[in-house]
Amino acid sequence: MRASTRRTAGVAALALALILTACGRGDGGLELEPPATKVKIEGTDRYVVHVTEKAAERLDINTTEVSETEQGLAVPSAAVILEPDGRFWVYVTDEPLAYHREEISPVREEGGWAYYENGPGPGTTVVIESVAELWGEETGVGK
Amino acid sequence: MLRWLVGSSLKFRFIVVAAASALMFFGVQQLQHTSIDVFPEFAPPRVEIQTPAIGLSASEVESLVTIPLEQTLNGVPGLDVIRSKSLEQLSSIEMIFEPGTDLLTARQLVSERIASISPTLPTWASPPFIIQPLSATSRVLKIGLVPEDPEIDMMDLSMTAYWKIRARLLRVPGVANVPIWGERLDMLQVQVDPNHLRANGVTMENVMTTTADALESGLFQFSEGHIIGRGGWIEQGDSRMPIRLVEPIVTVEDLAAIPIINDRNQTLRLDDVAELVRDHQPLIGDAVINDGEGLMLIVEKLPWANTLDVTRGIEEAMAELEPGLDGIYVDSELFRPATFIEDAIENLSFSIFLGAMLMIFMLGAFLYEWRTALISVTAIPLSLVAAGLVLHLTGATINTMILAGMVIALGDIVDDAIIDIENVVRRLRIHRKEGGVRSTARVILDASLEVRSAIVYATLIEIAAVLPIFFLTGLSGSFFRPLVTAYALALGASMLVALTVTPALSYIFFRNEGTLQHRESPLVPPLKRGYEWVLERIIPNPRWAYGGVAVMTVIGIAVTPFLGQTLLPDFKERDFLMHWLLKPGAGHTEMVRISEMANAELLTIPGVRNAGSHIGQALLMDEVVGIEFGENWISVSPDVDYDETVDTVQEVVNGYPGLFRDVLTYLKERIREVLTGGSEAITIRIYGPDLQGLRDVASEINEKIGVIPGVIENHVEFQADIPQIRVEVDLEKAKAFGLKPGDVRRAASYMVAGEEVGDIFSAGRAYDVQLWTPLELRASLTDIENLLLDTPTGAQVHLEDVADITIVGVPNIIHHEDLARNLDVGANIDGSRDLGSTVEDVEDVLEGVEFPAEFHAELLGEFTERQEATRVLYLFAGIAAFAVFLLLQASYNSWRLATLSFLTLPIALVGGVIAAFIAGGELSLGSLIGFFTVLGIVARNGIMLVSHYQHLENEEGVPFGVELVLQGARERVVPILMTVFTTGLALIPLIIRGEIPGQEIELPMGYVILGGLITATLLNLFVVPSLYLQFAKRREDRVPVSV
Repeated sequence: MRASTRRTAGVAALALALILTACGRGDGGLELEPPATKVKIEGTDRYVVHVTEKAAERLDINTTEVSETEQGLAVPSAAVILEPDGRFWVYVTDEPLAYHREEISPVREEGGWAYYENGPGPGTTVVIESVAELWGEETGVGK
Repeated sequence: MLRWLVGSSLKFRFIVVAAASALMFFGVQQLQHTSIDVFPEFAPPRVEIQTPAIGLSASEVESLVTIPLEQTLNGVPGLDVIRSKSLEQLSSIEMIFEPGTDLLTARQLVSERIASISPTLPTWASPPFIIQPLSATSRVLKIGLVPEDPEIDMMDLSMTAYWKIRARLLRVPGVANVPIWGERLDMLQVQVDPNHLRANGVTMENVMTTTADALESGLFQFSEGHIIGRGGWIEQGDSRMPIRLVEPIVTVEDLAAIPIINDRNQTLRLDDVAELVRDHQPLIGDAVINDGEGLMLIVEKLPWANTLDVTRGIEEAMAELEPGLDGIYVDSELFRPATFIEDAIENLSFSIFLGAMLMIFMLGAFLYEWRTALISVTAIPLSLVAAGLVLHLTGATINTMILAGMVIALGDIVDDAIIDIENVVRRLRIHRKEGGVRSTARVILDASLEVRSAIVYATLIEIAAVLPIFFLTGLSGSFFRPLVTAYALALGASMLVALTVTPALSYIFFRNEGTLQHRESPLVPPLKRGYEWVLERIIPNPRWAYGGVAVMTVIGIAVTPFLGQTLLPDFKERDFLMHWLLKPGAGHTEMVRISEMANAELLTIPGVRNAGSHIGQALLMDEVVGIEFGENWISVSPDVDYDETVDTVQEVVNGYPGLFRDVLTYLKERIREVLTGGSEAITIRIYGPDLQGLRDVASEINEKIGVIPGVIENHVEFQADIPQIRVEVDLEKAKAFGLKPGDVRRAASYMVAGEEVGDIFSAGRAYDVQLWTPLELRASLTDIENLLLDTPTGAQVHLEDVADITIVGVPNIIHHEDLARNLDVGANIDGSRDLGSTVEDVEDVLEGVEFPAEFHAELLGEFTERQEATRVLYLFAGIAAFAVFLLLQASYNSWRLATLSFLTLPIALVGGVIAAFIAGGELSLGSLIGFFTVLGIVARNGIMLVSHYQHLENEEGVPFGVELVLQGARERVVPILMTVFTTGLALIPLIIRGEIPGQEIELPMGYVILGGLITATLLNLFVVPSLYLQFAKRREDRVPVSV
């Protein structure tokens, strides 16, 4: 009888071991940190896009400042996004690695500059490179 | 009939042997010329129709071009699915036909229908054209060109690429097309600034007409230059002399000097009123080579062409061209699928070779008689070459699936020969010992016929067992049918060889007395003794054996729910592609910038040899996408660790926010494309009548599946509204200036989009002459508003004064499937869970979504394909099992024994399941196929033991009892083990070498077969004797058995 008990025990142990290895097979995927996250701005349908430092380096986000001219407030045309509903926006930043949209209107473009009256004031930092990516991140492209 | 076959082979043995040698010789020669590819052609025949429609938006293209075409093409015979994409200025319709449809017939029927509908399409839509036939894996090579010499600019490079390189490459047999991404046509632009025009008293119309007339082949139907005057000839005396009027305008300077008359009747030069520059056309796409600008040539092959042959042809052609391409950097290794094919075939062939060597070694060790071993071994190349020849004659290409089928058949090929030889030798020995009077030939004949039924039934059972696989359809069918075809052919060939060549050879070799010395292998006696010792202890107490079987079965059943399900494994290709999309609405400059930056970073990863991207469209191509669409391609050196490099690439790619991005290999992407038309593992296709409704439903579903564990990269397909500048002429205002809407439209489009007015021909090339405006005049919305139009009174007016200019949102692309609008939600899996369980959760989500009226969703992708394949397999598995049972019965001529043998088969499944679990816990389609093949092999082995018991009882009169069982088992253990080892050893190198290119599908199959063989053989050797004792008693003589 002891031989049979040992044998049964051995078989049960084998079965248990196999089942345990199955449980261990849980993880196989890469854990990847998202390069950017977004936080909704209260009372609007816009978000603040927070970008990691590495991501900002990859995108090479360049900025400049809004300037005041006789034709109005001015930003380079490269900073401007046009939405399908006809509104113009720029991405501004007041803290490092955080960007959000502000509307500018009415817009007149000339010689590579966009002039407006209502919108971010002079001296505000606006993004002139990687605008499309920030916009994509805000609207949920490539989560 | 078999008697005749074996008898004649003996009689004409030398002819048979000669014929066999001839078969080998010619077969090997022929097979060297067979095309080799890694996979069979797995895409159904397809025809794609493209219709450029200049100036139309996506919705207009949909309603004016796509819908009429789709409705006409919908009824073409053989059509399976019709999909379309309508985007700005282009309509593309893809018609997928039932497998087996003749491609050329389909194209003919399609072009006839197109001819009937073309006249009703808008005249500015170019006639629809059918693009060249493409196959599932049609991209053969990508070649990057970068100018190194500062004298060569992108336009020079483009002209060289088109007129020299592309022209030469098109001559390589099998090449269908070579589109060039980034192509910048070298053209002469007459750039007018409307402000200056007025100052000079010239209208734009004037400039256009003058330019067109000046050229030999003006394009305007209404311009005088349209008619290329004939030179005519003169006849003088007896001679006739033709006159040729030579076009003097060849260079920019020539055109600049053309006189143009203004409204004050002054004659000016063309370059007084316009600026003549050398520039290129507006770009619909571009390319990035490594991390800078360049051209990407993508060589595409015809469906019936072979990748390796075409690649070699292209590489030869490029080598020929090289001396003439000074100052141009050429990279033809951006993407080279031939490398994977070469690696895969080499790896698999080597594994097969190793397996065959191991087998031969084992045969020698067990048989210990060189003649017997030699005769058995000759069966291998003969059967394989015969099978290969049949496949070659039917036009198949050799691919890894066919090679895999042959690997599995290796064991049985040798086994067929062994059964025959073994019996022949045994009978000859007995005959000579007893001093019989029959001729050697007769002995061999009788001995062969004795075992003929065993060979024939065994082969038939194995073929019956894999029959369900023949009924697979779709992608799975394209992959696995060749495998079972090769397997069945190899088995059939080996059966034939065992009935013809083997007896002939044995007659030749064993003719003389001395050749039959009984030399038993030293391995055999201890084996037999050990086996008998164990068996003697089991038979009285079969409970242990039965207990073992029960435990195995329990383990197998316990393990099954943990097994994941996938369709096909990941192939270890070294070429990766990354989809790289910005939000629709993004433009060319940013796409190029971000692609260059990404490539630059990817090139820093160790092992990444080169990188290139293609963005948007090219002329004459098959990527129907917008400018925001890009694909980055990298190729990785074989010297670095595969998985590590893939992980690093994933990490880098993931680090770019705001882009849709993923990492795939080419084959994987192509397989998904064939399955769904998209590139994700899971595709949810939502059908509905209106676009906004589709977007709402899609975004709801996208949110919900995003939270399922294991799902990554879930996104709604990029059908978004993009801003469009809409110019609508205000009739009243325009009338005030004397302008008609058509005038406004023409003038505005010439200024913004340019218009080709003619060609200059030089050195065998054509250079466009185009009318356009300088870039500064059309760089912003304000510029558009300020466009100056000429009026009949001579004054000029701003566009915004005669038209309403607004921004509207328009869809960037509209998809149809089977004439219904659809939108996809796609997702991939990250590997933490298997596809099957993830998809179940997705299905639950879909059940919970409420669809508005006329909307519905379908789940597509690899999982659906797998479900369908599994369903077919299970359906026919029942029929196959029944067929196997009947064949067993016919072989034993006893229902009882047939049942006995049949019931021992499931244990093979248990072994396969356990082996699959140990191997990685996933059941791919290859594993399922493995189950079918192992069942056949195991049934064959079972026959050997039980039929021998029958034979002992019936022919040799051994009484039923323990002695019968022991004697039979002892006599059969060596042949059984040999059979098992031959199959097993053939697979061992495959399993040891692991997951390398070429073995991805065969590896899980090998595990399953090996596992099944192990458990089934254990059962056969240790349990079946006891079972036979207990259940095979004939009704007539029930004598109590002492246990």
